This record gives sequence, structure tokens and C-alpha cells, in this order.
Amino acid sequence: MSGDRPVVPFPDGREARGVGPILTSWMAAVAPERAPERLLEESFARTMTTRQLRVFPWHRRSGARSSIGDRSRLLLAALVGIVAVAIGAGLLPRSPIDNGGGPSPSPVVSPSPSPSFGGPSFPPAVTVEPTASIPVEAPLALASDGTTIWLFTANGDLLRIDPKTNSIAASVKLDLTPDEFQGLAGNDSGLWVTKWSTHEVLRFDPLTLRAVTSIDTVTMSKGVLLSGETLWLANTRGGSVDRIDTATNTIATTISVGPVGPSGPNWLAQGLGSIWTSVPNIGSVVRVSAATNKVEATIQISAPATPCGGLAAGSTAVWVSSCDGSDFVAQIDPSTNTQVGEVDLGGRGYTFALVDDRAWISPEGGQLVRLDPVGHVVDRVIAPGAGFSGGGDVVVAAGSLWVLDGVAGRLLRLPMDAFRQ
Amino acid sequence: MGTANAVVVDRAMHGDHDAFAALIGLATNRLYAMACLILRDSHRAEDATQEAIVQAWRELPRLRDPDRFDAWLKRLTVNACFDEARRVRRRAEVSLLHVGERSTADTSGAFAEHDRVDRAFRRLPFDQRTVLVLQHHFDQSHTEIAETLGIPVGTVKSRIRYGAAALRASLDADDRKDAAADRTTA
Repeated sequence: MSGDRPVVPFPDGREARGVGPILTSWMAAVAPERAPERLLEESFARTMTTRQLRVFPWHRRSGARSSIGDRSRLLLAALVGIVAVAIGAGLLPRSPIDNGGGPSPSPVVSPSPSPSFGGPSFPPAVTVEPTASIPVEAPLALASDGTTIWLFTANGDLLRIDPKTNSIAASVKLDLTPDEFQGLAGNDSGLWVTKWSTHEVLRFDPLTLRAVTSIDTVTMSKGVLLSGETLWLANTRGGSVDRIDTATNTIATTISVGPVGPSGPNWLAQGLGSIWTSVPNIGSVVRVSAATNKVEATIQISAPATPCGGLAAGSTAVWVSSCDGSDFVAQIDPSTNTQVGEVDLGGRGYTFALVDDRAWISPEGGQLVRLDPVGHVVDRVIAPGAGFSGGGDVVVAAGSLWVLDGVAGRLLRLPMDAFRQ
Repeated sequence: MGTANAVVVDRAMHGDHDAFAALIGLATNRLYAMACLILRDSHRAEDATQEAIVQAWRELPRLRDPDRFDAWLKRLTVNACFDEARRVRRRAEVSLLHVGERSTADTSGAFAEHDRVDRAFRRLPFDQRTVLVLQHHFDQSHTEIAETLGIPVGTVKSRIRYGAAALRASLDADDRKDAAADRTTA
């Protein structure tokens, strides 16, 4: 099988000694023996709701055509070319639907960066130039209290952005790997970051970013949400939403929303007097009363959406995004606590921002899209300048909409007017 | 992929979900291991594997040769890994890969060695990691790797050559750094 495996030389002719055995041994040691059970479960769940491509006869023919050879294809191309030239010169009749000498068709709106073949159909994108672009290396997560913006990066930097100067106003280095810092929430009394590996939520000074304290969350936690003096925590492995009193830095109440174990509550949103959390291991969004700390509803979310992404709670629609490969967001009617639709984003998006009670999200593919709660479609698309990758967090702060561009390594500021039309 | 499996593939190509489940059930562990090695991130590997499986189901009717199912699936997974590597992700629950997690009898020396190789491997470009994984973990020949990835054999050879050389250089550089540190502390 490996008979043609060569001795591996350096480019300059020296041998890359001993690399093969080292690699083989290392890979054998670190490669997992089994895929997680949920991987199979989720994959099958998605294939059950995914249609196979239909293969039409011409596809089969195109497959067969590959065997006819380049020469035949060239002849065919030449024939098509001759016919086209003949039509152009008036030697052959035009098609009846040709508009002949009439006015040329109106120019179309510039092509949208929306997914094209096989993806959802979006309205044409409107280009909106950012009013500021702040370079940030490997940005991961964004949070705001409406005034100040905080973010952390894949390099472990925790940053404060000053919207007055559109610049980084404070920065500290977090000395752990970035995956360990899952959630971020802040207001003028504190900035909170969940620390997955050590079951902690860390508190920082929101201005200086100086570490203040940490709270033991007992099990791995992910999303955080601030509401006045209360910090809500998605205790992922604990299967609960925890209410933390920020005055005493202690967990005041633990509200069970699902089973203890992997893939419990992920992210949080507040609205309509409730805290909403996405709980993938029960395939649901759970609504908790912020007043009574009781579970008000467990709302089943059906495929192809998976309730493990971010949430937004508007007055007539609550949205939850997927995180596991699905491009769909699910829509919940908060008056009935049921899923009433889903929208295909054409790419993965995670967090939402509400502008005038309408949800915006940035799916991968280079755009920002607005969700229509009535038609369950994308009804407005904004392309924030050239080279925007999409897929990053989005927040509203200081009269602007801010979005992370992870691939280009920047935080973009966009004028709010563009999102109000 | 033998003839018996080719029959199952053919059934799956015609929409038989049970047949597809049987095929994927056999392959998932291998695909996930490949994605983990290439991406060095268990969560991303899960996403990439899942994406490849869903794409395999969707695109299966287009597969022209059922005997090529295995290689085709590997290629879908590699492509999904490429896509995943381009993303900046943080979202889902993370379970970090722990070096040496399978061998509880490892000594601290083995852990250190694995960690050293891991760091060097992560520095390699994605396409070099891929060919090295296919060669050293899946024991594929150059020809098989070329078929899996749909690239010329010469390209496979050069990627392996440069990948191995870069890895060796990286390991040597670490050795020199450690030696210098030892001299300083001595």
C-alpha cells in the first residue's frame, strides 16, 4: 500500500530524519478512537431533513460526455460560436422573446453577495460603507451595554473599544487559550467572561479591564447576560441557568432547564420579562421568568435549525441561531411559545442585534441580513464594504451597529440609519 | 470499498436512509479522527465531519462510481476541514483535545514529546498537514492520496517533502531553544 513512500529529504537535499516514525507515533497517540455520539446523532438528524440532489438525465449525459474527448468538445464549442455569430449578423431569425431593437433592459442592482446556486434567494444587497474600521487581530466575541464595546480575541486579548475615538482604549492579555473564554457580557459595573476549563466566571473592571474576582460555577459554563445587578449564566454542563448577584458575587439561584451533561444551555437573551436560553441536548429553547426564576416554557426547535447559537428576543419574535453546521435560524412566537418558522441564512450566523425590534445577523458570506418575522425570510441585505467575510458577532452601541470581521481582522462600525430603512 | 459495500452505496444513492446510515456508521470514527488530526480542534473537527456527512447524503446521487465512495467521502471531509479552517469560530461547546488522552500509561516524557510534535504540526500549512495525516495515519500511498484529494501525484510528493522538512526544522528549532534554556539555567 505504501510502497511508493519515499525517504523525505529537506528541500536542500538533507534528509528530514526520523519525521515519519515521529508523526506516526504522535498521530496514533492523539487521534480519537471514536467520534462523539452526538456527532452521529446530529448528522443523521440533519440528513433526515435534507433532500438528496435530484440527478436529471442531462447530468447523466454530462457524465457520459466526459468520455467523448476534448476534440469533440472543441467542435461543439465551435458550432455554438458559429450559430451565435450568425444570429448576431442577422443571418438567423431571433428568438421571439428577444426584445430586438427595443430599449436595453434596465441595469440590475449590483449582484448581491448572497449565496447563489442552491442557496436561499435574498433581496439585492445594499452597500453601506463603514464609518470606522478598527484593526483587531483574530477577534472572537463582542459584547456591549449600548455604550461601551468589549471583545476578546483568539490570541487571548480582552479589549475595550471607545466609540468616541473608534480605537482600542484598554487591553489586557488573558493567559489561557482562547477557547476557554466562551461568553462575554458587560455594563458599567463589571465585565464578565466565562472560563470554560476551570468552571469559573471572571469579573473585570469594565474600564481598566483589571481582574476583580472570579466565581466558581461548579461545572462548565458558557453564555453570560447582564441585567442590572443580575448576571445570568448558562451553566452548560450543569444543565441550568444560574442567577448571580453581582453585589455579592455569589450564585443566588440555580434554575434547572435540562439534563446535567454535555451540550446543555449555551447562550442567553432577555426580553418580554424572560430570560431565553438555547439548550441543544433537549433540542429546545427554554424560557425562564426573570421575576419568579421559574421555567415558563420549553420550546421544541425542529430541524434543520438546532438551538445552540445566539438568541434575540423581540416583542413579536424570538430568534435562535444554529451552531453545528446548520445555516438556519428558528423563529419562536413568544405569545404561544412555539416555533413558527425558520429562515435559511445561506451561511452560518451566530449572534443577533435588534434594531427597531427587527433582528439582524451576519451570516458567513459577507453580508448583514434582516429577518422578516412575517414571511420568515431575509428581507434586507447590507454589504458592509469590500472584503467583508461575515459570520461575526454584531452589537448595537453608541448609535451604530458594530460587526466583527474575523477573516479580515477588524471591527466595523456602520451607520444606524442604514438599518432603519 | 468492496462489491458488497458498492451495493449498499447504490441503495443509499437512491435515497435509502438506512443504507446511508450503515455506510456512515462505519466511516464516522475514521473521518472524525482525520478531521481532528488536520484541524487540531475537536469541536471544529466535529463540525467538519458533520458537514461532510450531510454533504455526502445530499450529493450521493452524483457519485458515479460506488466503489469510490470511501475516497470520495474522505475528500469531502478534507474539503470540509478546509472550510472549517477558514472560519473564525468559537460558538459551540468546546471539548479540547488533550494530547495523549488515549494512553493513560504515558510518561511525562511522552506527553512532552507529543506536545512538541503537536506544536510543530500546528505550524504547518493546512495542505501539508492533510497529506501527512493521510500518509502517516491512514497509511495511504502517494497515488491513493492523489486520488483522495484530486491532485497530481507530484503535488502530493512535494507537499509531503516540504511538510516533513518544515516539521523537522521546527522540531530542531525547539531543541535548540531548549538547549539554550538549559545552558542559561545551568
